[in-house]
Order: sequence, then structure tokens, then C-alpha cells
Amino acid sequence: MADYSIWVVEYARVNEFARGLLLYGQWNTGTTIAPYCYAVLKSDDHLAVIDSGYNHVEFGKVLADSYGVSDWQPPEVVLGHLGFSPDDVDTLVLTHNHFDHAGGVEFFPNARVYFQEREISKYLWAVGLPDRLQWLTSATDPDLMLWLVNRLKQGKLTLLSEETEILPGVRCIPAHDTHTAGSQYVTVENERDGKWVFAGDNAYVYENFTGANGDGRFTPIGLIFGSSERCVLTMEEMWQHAGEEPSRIVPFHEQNLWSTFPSRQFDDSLHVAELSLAAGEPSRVDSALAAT
Amino acid sequence: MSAVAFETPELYRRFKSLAVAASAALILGERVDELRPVADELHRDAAGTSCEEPAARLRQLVHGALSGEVSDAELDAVRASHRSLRREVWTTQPCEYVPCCAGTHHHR
Repeated sequence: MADYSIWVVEYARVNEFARGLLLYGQWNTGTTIAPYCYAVLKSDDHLAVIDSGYNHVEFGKVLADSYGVSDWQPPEVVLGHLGFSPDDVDTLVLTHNHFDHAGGVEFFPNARVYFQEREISKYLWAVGLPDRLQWLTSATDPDLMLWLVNRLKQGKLTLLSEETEILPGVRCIPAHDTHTAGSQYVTVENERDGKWVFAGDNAYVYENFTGANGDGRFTPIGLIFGSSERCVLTMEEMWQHAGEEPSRIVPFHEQNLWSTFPSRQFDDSLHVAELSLAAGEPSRVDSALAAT
Repeated sequence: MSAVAFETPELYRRFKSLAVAASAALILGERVDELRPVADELHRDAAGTSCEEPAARLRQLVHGALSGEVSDAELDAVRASHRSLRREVWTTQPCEYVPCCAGTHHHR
């Protein structure tokens, strides 16, 4: 086990995010603000990032513009809020292969990338399917895949197929046939303050756990390539890992992260939430200490 | 709609599917040989269209993978030609991506 300082960093946001996509069945209930985030883990020996964001050029920009994404900043700026450089990152976990989570691999040149093998192999399976079934592959892009080939050639891509401890206390746990065919979520067990769960897109917001009607019944996300049953059962796994405490689960599209944890909004409008600080680690959200 | 304008989106869909699958095959180190006839057929069908160059680059990547190491230059060539084709297709066709984490999805 180790002690990690943990931050969630916002790198862009959607100001009118359909609630029906966040929470299954909440059609015609309006929109909400949804940040785009990734997590940063720092120990004495490692700097790790969970999910990579995307590059706001080419298809990333086209998708982002069409989705109403605003205020995008690259990892150089976003990690700069914490005083880090993307070059310092030695470990990059991708929870799944969608552009806003896996579209920024190129920004982290020195990181070993951890990914579920099934997320890759299902694309190879799908090539044999007729065009009318290609919706199944329509949330990825050759660009993302080619960057992974590059990383493989560099000897810095590790494909996982079972629960694996990739760093002391950091475990990648398969969540197959949920949001995507080969999703994974991540747990971080800190010696100092216990376990944290990083949901990927197996939960978009806390409400997925507390219930769309506040009744405590899990409400799955609104976009599922696998099965709703697998999604709900994976939520239960995460819930148990978190000791049934929703704030121990980190959804990357949850705007309430900024009010749940000590946080700071920087001049570029992007937020940082500070979930856990190891002994001796200075705060990045205390404006008296942090540099804007 | 002209024949070329009609053909290109269809070829783009085939190209994209094959490019994703070829990347997956390279990463997994398996079934690249099964993709060779698919790449050859796409290359033939794309002759004289905007997809010809991307299809040729992708075919070269698949054939190269079967005979040994894939070079960074080959990967870059596929990436660049794909981007060019995609830009052209998206001037006339709506984006085909599933809106994973989107607000309003309103392509021109």
C-alpha cells in the first residue's frame, strides 16, 4: 500500500448536458453542467493519471464543438494548475476508449498506458459484422487506435484482462459489457484515508448512485453499449468498494465534485478538487499557497 | 448527389472500420492476415475517389505488418490520410459518432 495525493482536474465542460444521457430514463428533464475531468495520483514514486482527456484539434474539436464543449485546456495547462507537467506522468490508465477519456494519449509521452484487452479485441470482432451493425464501433476513431499502436511500439502499452494491481494500492478492475465492451474502473487504497473509486463512465454523476428520484435506487447512465444489468451490478461493486459512501466514488462528469471537496476555480474557469493530501504535500487549492 | 459524393461516405465507413480493426490487430498481434483481402478490396474499390490515398496507406500498413515491423512513418501516413478524408466527408455528411458525453449534438 502507498499514500497518494489525489486531485480531480477539470479540463473542459459542457454547459447544457442532457440529463437523459446522465441518468437513464430522465428524458425531457432539461440539462445540467457537466465537467470533463481526469484524476491525478501522486506518490513518492509515481505520478499517475486516470484518463487522458482529448486533443482539441481534428475530430476532437469537431466532436467537442458539436457537443457544446467549452473552456478546453491541454494537460500542460491543466496539470500546470497542480505544478506538474504531462512529461512527468509515468502511468496512464484509460477507463475506456471514448474520445473524452482516451483521446489525449499523445499528451503523455512518457507514460505506460494501461487498457483492457477486451476494449481492443471487440473492434477486431466487429470488423466482420455488416455495416448496419457498425453503431457498435461508432464511438471510437482510428486516431485513438493509432496512438495506442504507437505506444505499443514504444513498449509502453499494457493490456489487462483481469483485476490487476498496476501500482502499489492502485487496481484496475474490469467492467466489461457495461458503458463499453472493455471498460474498467480504478480503486486506490490509501494507507492514510482508505479506498477511493474512479468510475470512468460507469457512473457520470453521484445521482447514478443516489437515484434519479433521490430514493437510493441506482439509476444507470444513459449510454450503454453493454447491458444495463452489468452496469447496475458494476455500480454495486463500486458501491461496496467505497464502503457505501458516494463521495468515495469519483464520477468524471460530476459538477458537485467542486462543492464536495476542497476546490479551486482557476482564472481559465477550470476547477481542481483536492480529494486527499499525503503527509507533507502542499495544497493546490488553498489560494494562499497555490499559484494561479 | 454525384456518384463521387455518394461513394466517398460509403468508402469512408469501410475505411474507418478497417482502420480501427487493423489497429486492434496490430495491438493484439493477431488476425492481421485476415484483414489483407479486406484491405486489398477496399483499395481496389477506392480507385479514383478521395478514399484512394487513405486506402493505399492502410493497405500498405496491413501488408507491412504481415512482413515485419510497422514503421512510425506508416502509422503517420495512415493517420494523416484518414484525417484528410474525414475532413472531406464531414463537409457533406453528419458526424457518425455516438454522443457519449454530449450536450446538444448538432452537426452542421
